[in-house]
Amino acid sequence: MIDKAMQNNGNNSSNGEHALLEVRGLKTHFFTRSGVVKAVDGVNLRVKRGQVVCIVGESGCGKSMTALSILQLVDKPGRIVEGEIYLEGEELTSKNRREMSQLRGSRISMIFQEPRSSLNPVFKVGKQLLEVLSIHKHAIAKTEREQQVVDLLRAVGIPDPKKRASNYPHEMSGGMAQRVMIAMGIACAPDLLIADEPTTALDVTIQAQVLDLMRKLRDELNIGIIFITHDMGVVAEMADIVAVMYAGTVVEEAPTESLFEEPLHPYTQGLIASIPIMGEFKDRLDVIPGTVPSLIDMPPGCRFASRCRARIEHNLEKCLDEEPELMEVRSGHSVRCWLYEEQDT
Amino acid sequence: MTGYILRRLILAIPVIIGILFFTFALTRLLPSDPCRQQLQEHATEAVCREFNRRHGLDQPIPEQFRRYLGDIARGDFGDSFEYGYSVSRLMVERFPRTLELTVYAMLFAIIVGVPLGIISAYYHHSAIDVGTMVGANLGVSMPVFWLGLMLAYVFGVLLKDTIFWLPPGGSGVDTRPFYEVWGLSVEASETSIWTFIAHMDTLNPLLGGNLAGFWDNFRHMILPMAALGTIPLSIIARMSRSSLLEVLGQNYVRTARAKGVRERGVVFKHAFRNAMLPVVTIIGLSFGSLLSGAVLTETVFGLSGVGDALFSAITGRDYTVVQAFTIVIAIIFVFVNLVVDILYVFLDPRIRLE
Amino acid sequence: MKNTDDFILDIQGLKVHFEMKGGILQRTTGVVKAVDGIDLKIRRGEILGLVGESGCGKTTVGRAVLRLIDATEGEVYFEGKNLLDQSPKTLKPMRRQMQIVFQDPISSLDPRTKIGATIAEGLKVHRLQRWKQPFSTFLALLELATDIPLWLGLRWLHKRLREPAILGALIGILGSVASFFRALAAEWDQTGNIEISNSQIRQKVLDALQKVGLEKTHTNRFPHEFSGGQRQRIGIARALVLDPTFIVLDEPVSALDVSIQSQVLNLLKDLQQQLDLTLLFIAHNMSVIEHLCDRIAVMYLGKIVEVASREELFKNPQHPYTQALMSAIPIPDPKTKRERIILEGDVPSPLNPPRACRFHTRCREAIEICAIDEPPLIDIGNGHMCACHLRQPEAAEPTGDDVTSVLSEVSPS
Repeated sequence: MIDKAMQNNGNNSSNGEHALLEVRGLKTHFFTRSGVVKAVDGVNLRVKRGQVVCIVGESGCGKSMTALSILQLVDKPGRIVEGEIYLEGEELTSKNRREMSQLRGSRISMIFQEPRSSLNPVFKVGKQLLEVLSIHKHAIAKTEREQQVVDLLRAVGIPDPKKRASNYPHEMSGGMAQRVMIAMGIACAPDLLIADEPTTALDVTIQAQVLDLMRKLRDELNIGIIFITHDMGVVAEMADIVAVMYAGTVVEEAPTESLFEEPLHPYTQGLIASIPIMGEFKDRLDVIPGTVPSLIDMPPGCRFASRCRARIEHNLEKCLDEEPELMEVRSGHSVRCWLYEEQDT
Repeated sequence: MTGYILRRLILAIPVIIGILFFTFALTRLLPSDPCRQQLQEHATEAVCREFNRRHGLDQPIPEQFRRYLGDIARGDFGDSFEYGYSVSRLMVERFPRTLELTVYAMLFAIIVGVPLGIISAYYHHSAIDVGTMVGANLGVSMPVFWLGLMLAYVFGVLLKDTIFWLPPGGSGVDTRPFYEVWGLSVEASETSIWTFIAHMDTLNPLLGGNLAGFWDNFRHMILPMAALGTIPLSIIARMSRSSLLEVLGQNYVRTARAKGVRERGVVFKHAFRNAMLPVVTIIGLSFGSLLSGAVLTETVFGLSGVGDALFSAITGRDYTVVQAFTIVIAIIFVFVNLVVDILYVFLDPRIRLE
Repeated sequence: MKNTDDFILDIQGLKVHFEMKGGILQRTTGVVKAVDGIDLKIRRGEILGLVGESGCGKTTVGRAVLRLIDATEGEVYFEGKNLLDQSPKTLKPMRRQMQIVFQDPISSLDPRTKIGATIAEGLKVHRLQRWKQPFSTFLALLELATDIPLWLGLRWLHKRLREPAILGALIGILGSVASFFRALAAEWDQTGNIEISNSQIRQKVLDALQKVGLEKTHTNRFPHEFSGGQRQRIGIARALVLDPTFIVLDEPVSALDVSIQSQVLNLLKDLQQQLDLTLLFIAHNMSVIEHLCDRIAVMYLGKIVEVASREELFKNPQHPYTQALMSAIPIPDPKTKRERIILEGDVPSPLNPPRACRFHTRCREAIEICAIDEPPLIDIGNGHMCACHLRQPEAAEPTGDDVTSVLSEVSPS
């Protein structure tokens, strides 16, 4: 089905049938002295217009690297070794540097975790915002672009935008800086916005403001959003589709309600159970035993096998030898686990 | 802004007073007697008494210091024992050449060092990077006089009769003072600003439109400039490289790329200005070592500048000259660093001006 | 079970101000009122949570209590003694009973020191140094020696002098000389250093490691060989090795991944029960606070706005700020639909905080008086303390507030 979609791509990219973004078999490896770090090791992802896809996982699971790989911003010694990325049917990995930089900021934009350090400290924020417009919309008159900067700042809820435009990043709070980043992200009306832990460094009350803003923008602009986070609470609030990542792969993908109602993968189950939830006091929290295996020296079989209680309970030998594929168990709910093998067939 | 500059200027005053005191104290603490050093076998008791009286050396030390401060406040550095005329005149004669040499060496170091650093940072771990850094380490560890001699030998002797030949010593042809060329009827006394500028070997012919004269004098500057500029060049190259490497890993550089800024824009617009902040500091600091290095370089290349005069003044216990030159060099150093700090404020808006 | 009036720590009117310098003469141009007059009591054996957003002063409170930074004003009584009055010498033995665990497990461990040595360091600081050990024996002898001349002298005087008045005076003088030496000896003793051998130190380090779930073999490793969760365990072991009674935990789990965070939280809970510790748990995450703490204090801009027991606070939050804070926390259940209170704007700068009630600039319920008078922190019933003009004791019964109903929806149905 995907192959068909790929063939169709060329002519009817505006067709809402197929995904806005399609990532297939993405592998990003880092070639270090101590070995090949398989940061992203076979990730598939689909994002539709107007949809928020959350990638959730713990540090080092490859969620940020997946995002950077989509934009081809992976720094040396890392590179994409395999996989295809389609933006409305256009393949991105085969594009050259110039074509990619034309695409960045105009069709796909990205915002980051640390808003204040993500803005250049020596330029005024208005100038940095203007830069995006100058790069991608040079046809518009300069005065009009300057007006757009003010409009954008107003749109993301910055009070007194004209004055704020001449502030330096260090003169802004984290929440304000993140709004500037978002304004920069939506400046050229992109198709896809990638947000890498955009609220992790912010206080909860400010986080609530930013999440609210992002939801509004999604509805108003009808853009696709990839939202990367480690916070299950944020996932529940933001996501339409959730992809749970573990050690470089997606282990479970499902619509949000389905995932929280019935998490299938033992890792997802463990992750949800281990979070303290406000208003649901438990005397002891559940714990996932052990730690993530090294990304350099991944054991064969399922990556979670060494920490998996279900494997022991069900006495599954297969988990240690053979890696399961991501299989669709319910409608739209896929999981990478041998426990569900029979149900699949 | 003005408040900041004012504060920095006020803070420079105690530094300068300290310098005055130490140079005065150091010269007086040196053993041996200026009269004997200067007059050698002619120094009889009676002659020396007259010599000391004329130079105020018969007064008690605090009185000497008091007079000395008073004179400096009036811009009078006193007379040289050795040359027999005022130190101010000696300075106007000698200082322009040293200043030119230092400025050329600094420009050479910046113009070559910064791009080298940028290239090696951008092509991190490549052959260019490794080569540059090996070169920079060699450059830092080479003494100025040795490098000077080697350069003089290679370009002055080995490459003789080729187009690469460069004069291994001395200065170029004398050129007519530019104000005479311009037909200005200025009263160019021995210590006026006109004379000062006219003593600049390369600026004077340039102002006077004498290109041949400029070229000849400039050719004489090339080897001293290279010898003197190599150490700061190496330091600047290393600093630019490590600074740019650090900046290229910053979040805002990633943001710039994500915005669709081309690589050239990322490096030259977003990274460069941030990376130059520590380099500017280094440039200010290496200016001091350049001035002291100039003394050695002038000796090696037989240029008669401050170095030359200072050297004979130290050996000849010519107090007034040593004091005057030390003070001027120190004040220039303080001033250059003040300029660097102010520049820093312009480059980095995070530094608060209060 | 717990004596409710047995306070191990009693903070009264604590203020910590930082001066901002500027101008040509480096005059004070402003004062950051990081902590601006707080009262807080911590009961023996409880876990008190201190929650608030960044810049509210919660970390400063933790540090000021341990005298890691200087307080501007106020008193902090630990076991009845005012910590802020102590000299370095008298503070040292108290320090042993009060420890701190920092947020960032990576930067708070020396990368070039093996963790065994890092943990042992605290013991070594408080150990009676080897050269001082014979000295303490010497002091004991000296004390005895002062008694001997007193005794001999008395006998000698008794023979020589007949005048009882002079005799009495002389005995008095000698006595004060002796007590001077005794006081000197006692002064030495007061540093409270412990006599401990190297093997005992080793044993204590191993005990501490075992308590936090690490292994013996780990002592010879360097911090970089450990994962984030393990490093935080090392941080806890370092605090435990001195057998403290009170530990300040400054955001100990916020740098950790969720699955690791739950391990560390369980560990802290176990340790508190096993070792009967009193903990001041500083965090910004309400869910974590709820899981661990018995009582919770909410801070906003250098002030405590609400203090209540866990059950009370989460069932019935009173202060408008607490309500907004709770409603802002994302709940990992997509079916929960809450009416959110989204606060407008940023937290004001502590350099120039709003007058009167500091929350009035962002408060939905603010009335005229909020900008004029500062509300005191008062008991509005059942030990629930709240600093708000709109929450008076008689109004303590549920007001049908939206957040109250919202939170009952959140709890499992």
